[in-house]
Amino acid sequence: MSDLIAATLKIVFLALLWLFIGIIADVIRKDLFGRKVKASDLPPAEPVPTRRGASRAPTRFAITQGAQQGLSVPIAPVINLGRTADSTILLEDDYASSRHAQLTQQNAETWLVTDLQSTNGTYLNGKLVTEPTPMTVDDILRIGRTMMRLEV
Amino acid sequence: MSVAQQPSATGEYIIYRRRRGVELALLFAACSFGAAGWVLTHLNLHGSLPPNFAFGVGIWYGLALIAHLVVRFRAPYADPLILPAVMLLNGLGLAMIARLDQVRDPVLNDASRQMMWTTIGMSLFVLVLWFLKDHRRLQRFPYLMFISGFVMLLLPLLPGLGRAAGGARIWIKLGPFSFQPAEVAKILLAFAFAAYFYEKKEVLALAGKRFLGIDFPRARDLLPIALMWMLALAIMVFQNDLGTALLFFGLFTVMIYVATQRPAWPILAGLGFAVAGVLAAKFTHHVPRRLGAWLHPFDDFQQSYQIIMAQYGMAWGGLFGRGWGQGRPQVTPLPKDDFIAASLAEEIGLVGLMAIVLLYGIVIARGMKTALICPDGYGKLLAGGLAFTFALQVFAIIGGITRLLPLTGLTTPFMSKGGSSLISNWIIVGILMVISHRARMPQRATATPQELLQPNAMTAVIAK
Repeated sequence: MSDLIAATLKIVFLALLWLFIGIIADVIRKDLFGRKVKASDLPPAEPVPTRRGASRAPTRFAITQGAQQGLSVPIAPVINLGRTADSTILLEDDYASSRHAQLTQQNAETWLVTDLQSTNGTYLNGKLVTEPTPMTVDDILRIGRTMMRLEV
Repeated sequence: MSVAQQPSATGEYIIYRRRRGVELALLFAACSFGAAGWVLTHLNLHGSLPPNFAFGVGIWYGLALIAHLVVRFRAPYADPLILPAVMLLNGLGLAMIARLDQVRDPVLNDASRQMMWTTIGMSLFVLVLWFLKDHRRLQRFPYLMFISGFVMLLLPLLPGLGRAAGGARIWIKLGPFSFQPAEVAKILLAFAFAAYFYEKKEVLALAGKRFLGIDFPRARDLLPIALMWMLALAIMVFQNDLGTALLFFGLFTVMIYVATQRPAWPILAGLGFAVAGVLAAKFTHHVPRRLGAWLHPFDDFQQSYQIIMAQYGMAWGGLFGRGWGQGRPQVTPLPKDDFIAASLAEEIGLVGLMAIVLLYGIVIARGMKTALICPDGYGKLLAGGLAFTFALQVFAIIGGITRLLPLTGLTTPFMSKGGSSLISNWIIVGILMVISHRARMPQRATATPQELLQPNAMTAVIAK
């Protein structure tokens, strides 16, 4: 092979290598921040099979989002939320107070959420909890960056 | 009744695009560089295509396709750039090993052996993606992980099983294959460190005495981990493998820094490292030799032969290199192992070596980005620690061959000849992909609580 072709191939190889890096840089640029979309724009979540007249009595209390996502405890008549060791769920959230909120059972399907004068507040479906508020399996409880719900 | 969409705090979700199509395109482009290096070598040396061209290229692209398909089905949200960058580095390493095989007559077969190790490494990558659905499962048995890591580290010292090579007793021999268990121990200890620090981060950062402007944790929090870590270092020093000891030291330091967010730790570790370095320079005869070869290599031609030859090779390669197959990287001892980056620099030049360094940078940056966006603390620690070990390794070895630093016997990740390093690095990439898959999944946008409070209510992180 002639020297000229070899030299050309050498340069072409390096040029393509840098072109590849350029493309990667472009992908990184487009990927810097995630997009924020409305919940309605998301593909619908897989429907949970619910039988007509199925029990709506929760069996577990679960963290659906946050650092401890996936953690759940069996349901109890009184659920203490906070950062102290005697909490039913020990929250690892910088915005949670040591004794943050308490859930007390009202009937088989409803628990009452009480905010225990926490520093940053307790939110049920995005609304600040100021008085004991009923909570069912449809509701989302938020403390700091942690989301929780009752699960059937 | 229809199941209501879970109402979120802000009604918004954060979405990262999956970009699997981009990954596939980049992956095939990345594979082409290794293949092109191989073909160009043969064209330049023999004027013909490699003898088993179709077979080799078929396997190479096939491996990439399988890896991609598994990612597409098991970790669809994983980072799209890690796999192509790693594949490119692995390909360049393979091409350079195949090129160095050609200098002997009859030609050597190291490249097919390395290809076999790559296949095993990528199979393990696939297995990690397949069976590890959630990286938090690795968090469960920190002490067991420590102990198995130790057993791995101690294996080479067993008579009969262990084998010494090049002054370091870090190998075990299993039938025809030899293996470096420290590479696997590195991963196990990373799991264990991350789990321990995640569990103890608050007490490590907050409980304890303040001395010289540094918050020292209580002995009972730090002692177990410090003991474990010093034991690991002692084993490494005893086995005369200072490079890996440096790696463990760096991993420990960066994890405690990430866990506690106290800059005092890296400063303290840097001071400790400096003291250890001075002591080693005074009382060992191994380290002063390395320092001499670093500061004034040309004083002693015999002693610093390897590093001198690497410098000449890189100088001869210049900006654009000699071209594949047209340099003489074989003059440097160990051109396929520690000095593969020098061999590559000779043949694809400074421009090529910079591209390689940048590709490592991209892998590391994506690992760090994964750590930043990961919602759980364990994943943050693990991804950050693993990405940092890559960074430290590349810095130490490429800095070593270019005489920025004294030479430490570390492998160049994904490129050096040798199975154990390649396999463990592919496992690490698999774990990074799993973490990034979890981190980039659509998550409900938890607005920072400030946004949701009344304007006059201040958010306090520390309770009243």
